[in-house]
Amino acid sequence: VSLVDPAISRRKLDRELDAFAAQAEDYRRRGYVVVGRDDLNVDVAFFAHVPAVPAPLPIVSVCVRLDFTNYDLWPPSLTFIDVITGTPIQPHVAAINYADPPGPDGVRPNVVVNGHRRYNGRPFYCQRGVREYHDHDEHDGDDWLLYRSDGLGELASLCQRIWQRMAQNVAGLQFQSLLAPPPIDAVLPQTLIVQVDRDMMRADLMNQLQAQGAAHAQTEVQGGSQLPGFRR
Amino acid sequence: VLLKSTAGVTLSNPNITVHVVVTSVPVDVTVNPHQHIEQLIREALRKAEQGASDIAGWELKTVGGDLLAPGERISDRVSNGDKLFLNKNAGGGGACR
Repeated sequence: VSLVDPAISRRKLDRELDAFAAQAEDYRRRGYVVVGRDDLNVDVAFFAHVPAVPAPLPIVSVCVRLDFTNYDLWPPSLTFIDVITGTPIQPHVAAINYADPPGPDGVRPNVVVNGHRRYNGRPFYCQRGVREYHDHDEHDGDDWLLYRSDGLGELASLCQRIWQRMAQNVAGLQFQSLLAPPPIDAVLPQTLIVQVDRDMMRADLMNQLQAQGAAHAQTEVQGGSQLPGFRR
Repeated sequence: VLLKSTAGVTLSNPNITVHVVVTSVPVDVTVNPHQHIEQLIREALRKAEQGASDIAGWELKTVGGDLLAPGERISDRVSNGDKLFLNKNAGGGGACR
């Protein structure tokens, strides 16, 4: 359905891509890069470093295609895609903001939801500023036009939110093997992407370092350390 | 930054200038570092002509993604010449089926 002249949506998207390009160096340092554009579609890949030898290995934790058709009468539509083939896929990571308070079940919400009724059951990013959120019948009281002027649908704003929820919190890879029962009877290796609360991890490490420092100081006060070369 | 008074006395200017990208609009904001982050957010919104007098829902973050809380003192978190990103919080979501 064409409600907005594509030339207008195209011009608005051009403007946002220009603004994105002006900050592209910082966005790349964060880990997100525009990897393609086809008329009103923009593909953005989000990278994260995982531990590897000889240096941290950059992986694509998620890649999205943003469709700016009828923008900005409609917000952009978001599809998770394979960065190489461009085909829709199930994302490998959850979209969690560790700053969000946990829900009643003690779990922080993952805004990737499987099975949108209007979009052939594909996974969608369920947050304001994304077409699939506002099109969902559970959000028909939260109209996009209430938020259009807040910039929630702008490329830069969307990318920052996706990065924080789906790339910045990636800490490493986890490998596991599953034994498939007969008649398959084979070992199925699996690789999972591990996401963590970086702030909590940093605080824990700082506490550990401080505890170690306090232990050393205590040893010194009590009359010397067992560490070689440690002077009274 | 040094200022010279009319009496010829040299005074130091404590103000700092930070680069704030408001959604996608870059603005330079000069603030007193002894003020709170809240003032920096207000000034950035004003300069970006967002016209938002209410800063509720706006989030100021570093390039690394760290959140700067409105109640924090600017000098504790921000240095002259830093770049920051100010975006409207999109809220939760993810509860639908």
